[in-house]
Amino acid sequence: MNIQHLLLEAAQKWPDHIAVKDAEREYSYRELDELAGRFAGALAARGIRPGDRVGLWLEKSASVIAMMQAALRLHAVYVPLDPLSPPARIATILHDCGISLLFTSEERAEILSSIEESVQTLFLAEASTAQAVSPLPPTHEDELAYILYTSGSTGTPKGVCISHRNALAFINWAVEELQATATDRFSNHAPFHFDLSVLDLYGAFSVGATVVLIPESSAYVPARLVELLYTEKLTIWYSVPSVLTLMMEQGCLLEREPPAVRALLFAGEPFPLKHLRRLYRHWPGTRFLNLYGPTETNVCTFYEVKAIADDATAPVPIGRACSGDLVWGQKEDGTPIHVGETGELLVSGPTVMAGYWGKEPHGKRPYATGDLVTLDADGNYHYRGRRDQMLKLRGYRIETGEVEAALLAHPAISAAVVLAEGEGIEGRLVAFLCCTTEEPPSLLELKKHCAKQLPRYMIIDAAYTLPTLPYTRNGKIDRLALQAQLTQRRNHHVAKS
Amino acid sequence: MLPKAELIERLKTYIVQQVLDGRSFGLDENTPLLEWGIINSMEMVRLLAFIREQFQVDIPPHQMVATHFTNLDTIAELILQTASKQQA
Repeated sequence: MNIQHLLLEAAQKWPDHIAVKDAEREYSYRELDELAGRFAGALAARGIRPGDRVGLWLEKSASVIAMMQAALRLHAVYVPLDPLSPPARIATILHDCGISLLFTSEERAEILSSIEESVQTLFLAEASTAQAVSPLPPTHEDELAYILYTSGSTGTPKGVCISHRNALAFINWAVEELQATATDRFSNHAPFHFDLSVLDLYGAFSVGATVVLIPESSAYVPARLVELLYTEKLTIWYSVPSVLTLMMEQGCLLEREPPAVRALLFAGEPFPLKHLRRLYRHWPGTRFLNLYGPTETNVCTFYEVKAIADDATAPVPIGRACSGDLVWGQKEDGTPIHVGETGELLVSGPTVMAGYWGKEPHGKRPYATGDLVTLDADGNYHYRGRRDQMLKLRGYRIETGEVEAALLAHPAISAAVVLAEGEGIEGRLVAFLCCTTEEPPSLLELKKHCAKQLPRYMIIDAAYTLPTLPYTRNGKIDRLALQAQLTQRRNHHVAKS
Repeated sequence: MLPKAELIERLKTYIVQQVLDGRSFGLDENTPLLEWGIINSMEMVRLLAFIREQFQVDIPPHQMVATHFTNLDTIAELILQTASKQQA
């Protein structure tokens, strides 16, 4: 079985059920299947072969989903790219994984052509008029299905390679845990290059349910999201907690009767308990599930919220392993943690990625997440922060090294350290800089500079110039001292206003 | 309602002072606000509150699309259009 068979089988079993609703219209399973067949014909006509990488650089729509399925039907690997990323970053990724063909718009192709001339592009008009071809028989489950690019610590994005086995292990677990059925209506809030979207799309296809795509332009407009939640009668909602907080704080979510949502899933960052508690109490008929897992492992642990005490303040646990995976905390000396102890979370099992593109296969080794966890007496793990310099901001994973490398490319900047300030929707990306010019570049200038190379969520929100950066005794940049400065500035600011 | 140029000037002052660093004077009506990460989700919420307080204009949710927040010019245009509908 491959992941493309989820749609193929659904089209047999539930041809008239609505598969996808995008900003324009609804598509039944039959229509989506036919579209994917034609797109596969277009890819085949362009010479796409098994193992080739097909890039997708468009705002989300049913066509993009059909193109993913088309690539899989030819045993090609699809690579969803952030529609909000600048062309320079897209070009870097195209080169990194050797994209054979890029499904995009004429407008985007035009912008990209100033940086990258050699890439072959495919537009909707050509794809829609192609002669349909039949899907190839299933390929081996260890073959790659898609590649998701995440922020890389050395300054370039990393391609996480997911095989059919990896994706199916996760999707099957999710469908089983949620007891999803053909009457469910899944939300799709996350963009396609973000792993949360895998559950939305393939969860729906597994059971003949409907997935409602939330356009990028509405993704952070709280009033629109609340409106959508009700008018679309969504039954399964999955997003980062920041979005839910925004919906409560700015979208008047709690002023309305509980919606049709029977399962609320959140992942990507800790959900501040004060916000989660309010929502949990307001929606008594809804299951609340905290999912955890870096892109490299899909979702590997989960926790179902059953009660939240009045005096509790710590975020809910990330829980225990999903079926099929093994997770454990490991101390510095390599031994597993016991109850009450803290260590790095390791994951082993079918959901662990095949590897990074262009690197050695990951193999059967456990994946070290870089996340610190504590084990409680009930057998649940609690997230305690990162071991390294990776940040999570509004659910997006950001390697500070990548942002620092972009800042250092500016001629006036000689040193740069990037830190996060605040959490959840209040989270901001802050840079400490040393400059070679008397007048440091303005924030506008820095943002403009970053926007050439980084996706929007990695653009800094504030910058402070220092004569020199603080160093620890062993010569490393003292990030803790800078973090303390940030807290101090913040408190000072709060006291002032 | 204020003339468009005045609206742009007030929005510009707000963004330079409240969102940016108070010295980003290069900001003009064509600066891409979303593309350069000047207006993100949190800033959008603050900006809408600013527009409500300063100009007594409530932007309806269906108008909160990226094309209306591309730059100061499109935001000013949106304010003017919404204001004329509010009066009607």
